[in-house]
Amino acid sequence: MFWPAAALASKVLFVGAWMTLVVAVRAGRLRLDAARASLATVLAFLALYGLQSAQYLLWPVPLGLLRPGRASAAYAAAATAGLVGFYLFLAPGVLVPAPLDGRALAWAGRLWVCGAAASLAASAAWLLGILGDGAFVKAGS
Amino acid sequence: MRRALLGPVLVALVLRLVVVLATDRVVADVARYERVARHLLDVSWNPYETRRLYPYPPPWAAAEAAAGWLARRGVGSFAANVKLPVLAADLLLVALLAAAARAGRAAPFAPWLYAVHPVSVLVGAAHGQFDAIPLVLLLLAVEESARGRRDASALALSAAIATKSFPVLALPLLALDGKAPCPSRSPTPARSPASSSPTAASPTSAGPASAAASSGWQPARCPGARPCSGPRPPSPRRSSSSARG
Repeated sequence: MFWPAAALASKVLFVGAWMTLVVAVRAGRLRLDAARASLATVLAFLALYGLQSAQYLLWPVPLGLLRPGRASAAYAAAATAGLVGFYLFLAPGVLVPAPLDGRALAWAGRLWVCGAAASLAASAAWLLGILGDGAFVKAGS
Repeated sequence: MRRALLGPVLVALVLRLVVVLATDRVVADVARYERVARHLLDVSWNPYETRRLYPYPPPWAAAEAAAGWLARRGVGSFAANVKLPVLAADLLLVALLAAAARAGRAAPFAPWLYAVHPVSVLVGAAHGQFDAIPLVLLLLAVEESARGRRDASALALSAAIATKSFPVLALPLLALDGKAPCPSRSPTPARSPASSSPTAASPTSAGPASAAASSGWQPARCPGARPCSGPRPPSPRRSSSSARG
């Protein structure tokens, strides 16, 4: 019961954020070119959409590399940790032929959880940085 | 110019080929791709006939079928074959970033960063997920829009959406690119026209790209530098071609 409701809430949250972004760009309240606005959309998806998948982590990379900086570097480090942990813990056979066991498997699980959390935080921080760069203009000023 | 392109493309190619060959196993998504290929080659050319078999738009199904067809004829393994279009898309992404860097719309080292980016290597070359294909088309759409070629941008975005559905999120943003009304008050110091030219870009220039500034590089075209509405300035390529007559 909890997870379906949480997944639905995260979908509504992301679609609301995306629509707000489009309206803000349309109204000129957020000055982002197409590359930055598209990157912000992808980062909003990563930060707000509750379900994670390995390929989602690639989405912001090419657009982010148009203007690389500390945010994209932090994201790369976090996503790499999350992916390596994911492949070793949950997708045996992708990186190594045989599944891990014992302590190695436990460490892979920790790496996955920490990497996923760090990816979430790095995505949110990167998104906030882009929105800050786009700088909202106060209505009527 | 050729060396600036060849270097990162070669590094990307070698790195990904090594990983593709080292992870030549039919597991995870590659196992699902093989199941679709078997269905397409042995059962029906319609992958949507069987429920929960194939959730993507049609083009990727052709890549899966081709990989299976080649593997059955002894040309490569299925796992390596099915990753080749992804590898090609990664190389095109490197080339596209190099072109953007040459035009002053990306950092000079952007193609190198993508060539060795661990997320790209893991997701594409190791896992075999094909998101690099819609991403190269999405980046092409963004770049064509930045050059003022909206028709080409629309075609590239259409192709991206036809490959995987997520680039549809960029549709309204690309449609609005350069069309937003001018804000009533600029939140950042106004830039002179010269400051938006590639030659004027410098690490010391103030502006919104603070993250890029921290890396010592400033983009040539910053948000708001382009006129908010009205006709776009001609792209350098158009200028040069018209100058040639």
